[in-house]
Parts: sequence; C-alpha cells; structure tokens
Amino acid sequence: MAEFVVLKVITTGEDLEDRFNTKEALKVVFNRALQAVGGGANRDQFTLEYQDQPLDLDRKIEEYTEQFRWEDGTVLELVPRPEVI
Amino acid sequence: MLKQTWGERAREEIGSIKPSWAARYGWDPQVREEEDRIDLHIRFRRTHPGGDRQDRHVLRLRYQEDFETAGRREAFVNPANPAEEGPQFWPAGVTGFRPQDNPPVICIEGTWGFHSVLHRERDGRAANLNRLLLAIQRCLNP
Repeated sequence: MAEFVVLKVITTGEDLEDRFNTKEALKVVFNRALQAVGGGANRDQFTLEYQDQPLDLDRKIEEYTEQFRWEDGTVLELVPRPEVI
Repeated sequence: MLKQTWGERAREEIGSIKPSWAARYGWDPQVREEEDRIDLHIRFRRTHPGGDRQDRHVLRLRYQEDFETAGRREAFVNPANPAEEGPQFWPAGVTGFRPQDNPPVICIEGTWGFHSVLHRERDGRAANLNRLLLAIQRCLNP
C-alpha cells in the first residue's frame, strides 16, 4: 500500500490539492480543507464526502484508499450542512 | 488598485461557481444583465421520495448594488419562460422555503429573504454563493 496519496478537495472556497500520509486520520485532510473556508471555527458546519457519502474523520486514510481504491488525484468534497434558521 | 464595482464583484462571484458541482447537479448557470441588475438563473432537479418522480425548478438570484448586505433577491421562475415568476413555480414542502410569504423567500444565508427579512442581524458579507447553491440543492433533495 502506498505511503502517500494525493487528494483533491473541492470546497466552497479555494480548492485543495495536497499529498497526505495514508497512516494519518482523515481529519488531517478535513482540517486542511477547512482553512479554505475560514478555519476551524466552521468545523461543525461542514462534512467531508466522497461520492456524496460522508466520511468518518477518525478512520485512517489508508482504510479508505483500500476500501474505495483511492489513488492520486481522487476528489473529495467539503460540503456545508444546510443551515436553515 | 482600483476598487471593483458591485457588478464586477457580482460577476466574480458568479464566475466562482464550481464547475464540478454545476455539472453534477445540472445547475446550468445562465446570466442576464440589465443596467441596474444581474440575474443569475440556476436549474435544480428535485427527486421525490422513491425516486420515481423528478421536478425541475429554475431559481433566479437577482444581484443589485446592495447584494452583499441585502442578499441576492430570490424567485423561482417558469422554466419555460424565465421572465415569468410567481409562487406557483416554487417547490412545495421544502424546509426553509416560504412560497406563501409576500414576497416568497428562502431562509438560507445569502438570500434577500434571509438578510433583509428574517435575519437582518446576520452579516450578508459572509455569505458564499457556492454554499448557498449547495444548501438549496440539499434542501430540495434531503
């Protein structure tokens, strides 16, 4: 299994493309993508998704690379939760 | 550096719509400009529970000089004739959508209804068009 994977994250702000250690938890990707939409204060307002499915941020990246055959260039999305007040 | 006009800022915001989301959801953004306004038309598909029926709606977001503080003026229009608007073109039974109001409004950050009617205390400058469109997409297809 590859030690690193290049992931792209589409956000409502700037998109992110970076190389990640697959041994790390997915929250590393989430936290980095959050910076594009204003930082950690917004963390409860977003979910990280792959093909419309929310991802578990506590799972290691390598679990998903194995489960979904993620390879370099795989696209994730940082999606806002609808906020209706 | 020269300050942008409101129209330039509006066009920049409209230009920031993510192509991948527009393609996936079939938004097909269309822009019509007049002297005092820029109208953005977005197509939405609404799939009903069970997946056997799908409605199509066209949302018009009207940008005017005050769009960053007052919000983008929202209206659903006739998909066959975008010049025609009215509550009959609004999707029914959607959380946050209030077609029964006069004028009808959407209670999601970024709209005129949100910033100028329902939540005047919320700063419209923090709104984000991609976020607004995704929120509407998901309210229509929860």
